[in-house]
Amino acid sequence: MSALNEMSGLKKEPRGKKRKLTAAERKEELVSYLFLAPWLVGLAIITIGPMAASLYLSFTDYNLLQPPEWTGLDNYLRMFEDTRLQNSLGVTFLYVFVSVPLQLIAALALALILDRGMRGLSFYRSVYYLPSLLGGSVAIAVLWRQIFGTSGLINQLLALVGIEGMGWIADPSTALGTLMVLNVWTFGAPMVIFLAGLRQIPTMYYEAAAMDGASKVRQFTTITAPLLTPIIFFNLVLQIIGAFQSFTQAFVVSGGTGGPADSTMFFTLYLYQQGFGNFNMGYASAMAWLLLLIIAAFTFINFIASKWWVFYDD
Amino acid sequence: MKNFSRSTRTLTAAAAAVVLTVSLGACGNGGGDSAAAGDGNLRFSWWGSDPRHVANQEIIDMFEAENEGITIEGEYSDFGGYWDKLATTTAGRDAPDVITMDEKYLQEYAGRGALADLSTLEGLDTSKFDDAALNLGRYEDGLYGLTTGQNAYVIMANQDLFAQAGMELPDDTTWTWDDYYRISAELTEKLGGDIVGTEYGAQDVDLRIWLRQQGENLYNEDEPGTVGYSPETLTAWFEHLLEVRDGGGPSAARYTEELSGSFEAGGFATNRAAMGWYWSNQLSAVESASGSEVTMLRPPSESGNAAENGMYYKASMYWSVSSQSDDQEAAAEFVNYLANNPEAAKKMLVDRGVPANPDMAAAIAPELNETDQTVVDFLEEISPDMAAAPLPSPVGAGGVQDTVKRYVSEALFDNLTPAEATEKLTAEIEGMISAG
Repeated sequence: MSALNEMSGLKKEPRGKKRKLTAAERKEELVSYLFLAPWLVGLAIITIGPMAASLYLSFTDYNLLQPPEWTGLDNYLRMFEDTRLQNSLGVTFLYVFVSVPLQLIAALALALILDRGMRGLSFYRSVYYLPSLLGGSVAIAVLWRQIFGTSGLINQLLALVGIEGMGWIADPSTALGTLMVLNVWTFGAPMVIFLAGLRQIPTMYYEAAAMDGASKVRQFTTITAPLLTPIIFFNLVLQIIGAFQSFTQAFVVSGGTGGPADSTMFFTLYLYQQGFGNFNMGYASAMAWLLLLIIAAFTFINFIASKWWVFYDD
Repeated sequence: MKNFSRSTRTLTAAAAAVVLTVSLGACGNGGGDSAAAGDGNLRFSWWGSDPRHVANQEIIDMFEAENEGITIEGEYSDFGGYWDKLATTTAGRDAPDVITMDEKYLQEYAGRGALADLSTLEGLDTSKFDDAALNLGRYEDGLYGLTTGQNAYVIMANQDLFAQAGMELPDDTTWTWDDYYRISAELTEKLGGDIVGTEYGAQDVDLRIWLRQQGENLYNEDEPGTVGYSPETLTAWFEHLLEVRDGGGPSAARYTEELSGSFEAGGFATNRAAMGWYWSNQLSAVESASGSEVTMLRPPSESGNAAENGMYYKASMYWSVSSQSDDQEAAAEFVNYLANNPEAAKKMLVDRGVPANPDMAAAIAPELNETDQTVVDFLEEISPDMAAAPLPSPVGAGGVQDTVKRYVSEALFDNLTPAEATEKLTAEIEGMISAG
């Protein structure tokens, strides 16, 4: 009882009255909301509104041109029988699980090299960051088509050393690989974050380790790696989320088909085809929610697992 | 303190200005659409290659000069991207006013209320079109597309490459599929290198021709929602494609690569295939892309009798008006101009098929260059052998084209046997047209 009384007692005191805001402070609060307003408006109109709409549409049969019809769970049940959807999930998982680790390894390796304080560091940093800015663009995807095409740059280089190339983007066994290479190539963004993380590790640890005669490798495994785990974790979460949502590259490289033979049919691309090609927007909306759940699950698993390997130095 | 509050005030004002701008901007957008009602601002969309873009822009300019108060903005893309864009803009209630339509999508859009019934629009005169031409654009009781003209699906043969191989063009009134296989294998062998004898005819239209040769159809026109062929005939088609592949046809990888590329990058258009499958109205486009002399041939048949080669006159395209258009009157006037004005017809010539309006066909006759004249003559020459055209594809069939291509690549890569591909393709097509 007393506990309850205490709680109700607490409740009786309105929050605002805890401490009176001065006129200036209230004004400041108002200002902060005004500054947030464009973002809040954007969030409501561009994100939350469409999300709510797509949740509704995912329970309907909606062909874009006529009003949606409520069909309950039909769209979700249909996924269990849709082998193309299952194939597209397989393609997407393979892409995420191969290209994200490779990309992070490349990013970390480059960051370690750049961290040694070479001349012209900021120049190199910019150069390596550039692909991250360009990687998701249509122009680069078009370029990729050319580079890996049958008469593209890769095959011309191979021809110089007497190897007969192949149609990299046209062969089902290599097409997805070219997209993975494209993703790995955009290692610049995680690299810059790694670089910032490396700068935060106090040099005294390395000095002490060097005095004790620890090798560079030993210094990396016992100082750099553990202290960098929060950064690795951060990059991992971001890149996994990003990779699940990849669309542009596959769309442009395969000419919107997800081909050859569905080998680059990302989940997002299949969703797009269903929604805009086959007029199954209800089904596409349900797929979008499935993707959201998958990404949420992976992020959740990531956070749980992080307890075992991420080390916070504070 | 005074300073602080002043700067706070400035900030408040700035933030308020931002918010106001944003919301005003939103109003502007919202208001703009409704204010546009009947103001003569039209958008006109089409697909195609460069010569068509140039011609259309000239037509738009001429129309605008003659019709004060109507302005037209052209929107164009390649065939594949066109339909994605049309679906998105239509769903967003922002469809172009005048839409270039294809038989694959006519029922899809008409059946879902996205097109205006042209017979109800004043200002569009269809009296010059005969019933056969008009019927191709009908759905239920309305006229949703006006045939631009007609064309036929043919084999284009690159004369320069035939000459290079030292070979004669086949007699297309008597040739059989076996002749086709033999000639393409021989071409591949003699031309060598990167050049193949023929491209695959592996689209839904090729399939239609194949099925028609056996007296069958892609879609069952008596029983909507089902296919109109027997599995054996479709399996034979996949086997036929494998025969082309194994007889020196393009590799499966090359097929898929060119499939996702542009028209101009295709094997035939770049002189890397001696024969290719195209619509007759594309003759001028393939000639300008390849820079070679090109001859049109009738497709081969099994019997060697041209009357049994399954060819038909297709409505090359349609003019349609969006039901969302806020100025359907002006849109109808523009379609009328496209369909009935000799000057416009002279710009289009036979790029959209030989005009279905006989007056326009007569008007362009003196203007035709040799290539265009060839197209007109060819269509006339084959007319004794032509059978009735299939009805426009049923609702839901918009995705069939891509589905056919996908199973063709699965078969060419040997991921599926012809029988497996038949079974899966049929199931998928039926799923699409029955749901539609």
